[in-house]
Amino acid sequence: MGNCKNNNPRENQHVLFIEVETHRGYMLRFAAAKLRDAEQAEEVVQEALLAALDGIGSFSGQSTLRTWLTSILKFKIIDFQRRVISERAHFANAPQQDDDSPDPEWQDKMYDDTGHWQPRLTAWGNPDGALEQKQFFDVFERCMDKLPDATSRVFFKREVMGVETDEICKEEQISASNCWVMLHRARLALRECLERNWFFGK
Amino acid sequence: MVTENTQLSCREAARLMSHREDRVLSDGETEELKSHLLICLSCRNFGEQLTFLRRLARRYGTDGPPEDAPT
Repeated sequence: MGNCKNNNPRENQHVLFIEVETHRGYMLRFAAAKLRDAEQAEEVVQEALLAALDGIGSFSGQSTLRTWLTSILKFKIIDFQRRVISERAHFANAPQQDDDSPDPEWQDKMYDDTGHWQPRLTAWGNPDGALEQKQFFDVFERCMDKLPDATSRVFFKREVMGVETDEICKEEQISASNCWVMLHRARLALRECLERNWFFGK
Repeated sequence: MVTENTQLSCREAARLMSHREDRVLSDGETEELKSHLLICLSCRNFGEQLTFLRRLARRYGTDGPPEDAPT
């Protein structure tokens, strides 16, 4: 019953409303990556969801629902940033991280004294199959949430949103090499987390 | 000139593979990485996992998770 198309526009709309709600978590992360503030992100996502529900008739189904919602969210974020800037002079005060800061301890534990993997890395079984499972995406979200805020933001911009590194550096006010280091740490941590909680941990 | 001492460790190889996604590697870096990957299965696995991670992230940002399917 759940998937059958029906021609009742009101019922279809109801189904879409429920579906829109399932993208809230993603939208919150998207907004937090741009705004660096969980509360502001919440506010903007609320605005975007209201606008989306209001204009849901204009969703053509040509893009995915998530892509459509993201485009609305982007407008709302820009809107919000304009408002904030006009309300008060806004200086992003990103804590400058030291480029030469040593690798965190968890990273040391992944290698032996000579810098080789310990234990060795083995291939994941059927990663493509994982992409077809909703629970796998839940694990991915939980793994992203475990990253330090700035690292998570940089990863989200680079890999989820596909932003170029030099643009990320500008937005985050960090050097290119710092950006690369953060991305590498994020990938190492996520790789490990997915492996532990999905591929080898199930 | 390549000597024994210039052999990359996995740690360095992993860093280069990650950086390769974000910047152009120098010729020297590319060469070193290539010869390391020839002899290191773990790092080849790591490379595949990085590629997968990227696909996962892009998928997460476009389609999102698949709809609930009966398991």
